[in-house]
Amino acid sequence: MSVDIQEINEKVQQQSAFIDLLRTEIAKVIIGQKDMVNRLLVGLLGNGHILLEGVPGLAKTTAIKTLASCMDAQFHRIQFTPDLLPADLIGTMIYNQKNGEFQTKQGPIFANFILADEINRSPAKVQSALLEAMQERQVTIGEETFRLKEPFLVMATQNPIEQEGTYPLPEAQVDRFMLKVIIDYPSREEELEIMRQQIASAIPVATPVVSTEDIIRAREAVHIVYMDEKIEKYILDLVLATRKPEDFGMENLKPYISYGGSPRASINLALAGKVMAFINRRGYVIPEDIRAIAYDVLRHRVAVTYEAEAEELTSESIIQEILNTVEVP
Amino acid sequence: MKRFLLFIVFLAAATGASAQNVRVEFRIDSSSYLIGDWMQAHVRVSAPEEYRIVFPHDSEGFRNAEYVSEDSMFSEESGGQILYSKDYTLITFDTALVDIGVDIEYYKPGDTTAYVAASPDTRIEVRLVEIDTTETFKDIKEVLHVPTPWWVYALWIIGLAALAYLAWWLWKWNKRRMEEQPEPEPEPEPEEPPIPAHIWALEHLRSLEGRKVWEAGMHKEFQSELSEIIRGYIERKFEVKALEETSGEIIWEMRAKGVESQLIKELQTALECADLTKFAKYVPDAVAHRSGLKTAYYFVEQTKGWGMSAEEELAMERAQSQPEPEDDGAAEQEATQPAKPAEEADDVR
Repeated sequence: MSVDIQEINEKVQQQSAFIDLLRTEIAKVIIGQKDMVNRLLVGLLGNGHILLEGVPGLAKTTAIKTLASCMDAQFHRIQFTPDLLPADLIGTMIYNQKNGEFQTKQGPIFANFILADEINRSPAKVQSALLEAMQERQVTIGEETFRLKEPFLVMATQNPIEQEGTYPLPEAQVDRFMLKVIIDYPSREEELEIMRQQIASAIPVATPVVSTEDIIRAREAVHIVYMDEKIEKYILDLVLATRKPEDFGMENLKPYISYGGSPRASINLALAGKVMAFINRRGYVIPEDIRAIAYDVLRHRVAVTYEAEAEELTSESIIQEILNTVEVP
Repeated sequence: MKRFLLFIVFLAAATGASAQNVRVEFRIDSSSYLIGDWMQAHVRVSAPEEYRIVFPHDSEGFRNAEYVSEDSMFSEESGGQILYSKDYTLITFDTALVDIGVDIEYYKPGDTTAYVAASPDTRIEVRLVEIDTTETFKDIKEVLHVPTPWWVYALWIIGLAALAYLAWWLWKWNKRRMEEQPEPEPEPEPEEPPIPAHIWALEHLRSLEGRKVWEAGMHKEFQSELSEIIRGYIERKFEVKALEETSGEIIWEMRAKGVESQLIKELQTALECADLTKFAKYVPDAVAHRSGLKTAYYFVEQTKGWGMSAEEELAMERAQSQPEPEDDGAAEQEATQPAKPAEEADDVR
């Protein structure tokens, strides 16, 4: 093995040592949902944000709360409602009668981990305020600008079953989420274990095992993970196939795709691929890493047409077709 | 005077009685007819208003004459009586003096009995056609030819012209259609039978080995091509989309196909070595390269009979043991064609 990769591998091994520790600690509280926990780690280490879709009761809140507990980081949960205002989220100026001055009152967004619960229940201006903070990682209240805490991870949830009276996120806003994760019900065995755990006298609690500094160092290590040109080309092929499937011999998909992944899709797929390699404690990316995370990176970036809906085709089935057709390096 | 008054009363009573009777008058236009001639008869019936009169509608009502047709009936009131009149066309075929008359059926109010009022007879003479027996017999007359009017000819001419135009238009339309039709595509040449997967793989492996790629320092190119040959073989042989699958997925597929586990293990080692070289800047040593190549040969040899019956396998081995003809067409040409250079393969990928 060449010296460079060896060095990278060693560094990755060293920096990712906490991953197993973190997983073990999270597993004390969260039973099953391994994919969701992995995606949380991808978002955390890839410095991105996650849009989570799943029916209520699938441990979404518990997962991010546990992650925060494992790192001794600050966690805030914001319930998005139709009457929520941007000031309720980012904070506002309050008049102090004692000194006769306006003082800044920071909102719940000033935390390391934010759970934006049912983000689509709030109007566009609140969604926009959150998404802007997510992107800029800073908030301006009055005339003062505040940097948000690091690490900063927003996990927004959407309920797929109750769409009445909601404000669906615009495509441009959805694109800002690194991953869109779909959570499914736990297996029978997992649910039995969950049931037993929750009715037991002592509910397990996660304890801090990682510092936020470890996370920041790990993020730096993610960037040095080696990605070969062949993998870069593979990522581009996948993303370009969502835009022009006919160029990849998938003319049949053309009428079903309204628009494909943006350049942000390529960036995030590459970054998520590196994080996948990192959490698998490898110093280089292999096609498996890309394929494992491709659905979560692309599903909210590939919009399907009415024809596709009529044919009961989803963005997932289109991505699957693309993954099955584009040649692996 | 008394007697006169009695006479008046009697007369009035007699007149009133007769007023309740039905009187029928029958008259014919002429008293002499040729046999078969139509006779115009006029029937007049005088009857009280409340009586129902039934005029004849067939020959039954006429005496010594046959009914031909009738006209509409007219009626008018006259002195408390209704006067009905109707014209008939009659015919008779008896040459003699014939007494013709009519019987009118009528019904009194509240009485269903059919009463008949008969007209007095009218005598007519029905004559035969007079034949002059002194003259000679004449020949039967020629058939009369009705002259054809000009417009019939005109119609014929127009019809024929329209028919000719239609035929011409159809001919033109068919000609245009034939011209527009693309020329029939030449029949596709019969496809060459596909080269068996193992022959394809062995030829490419030999070519890769012969080109001394890794010996020339092109480690990544060698491993890329080796991996591609192995995957190409698996795709052809096992009908799995190996070129679109990762090494892990290929190994999983091989397990699902029931390939021997030791063989899979060796294949996995070879593919992992190729992956490391391709994606992790790994530089395998000579032993690793040779091992990869040897594994590839071995895997192909061991699995070439996969999915075949014993007879098919035997037939395949026999076919392989036979010397190939020197000039053996395209199949052999393709089989012996050197594999794509690694750099080119890399570009394509």
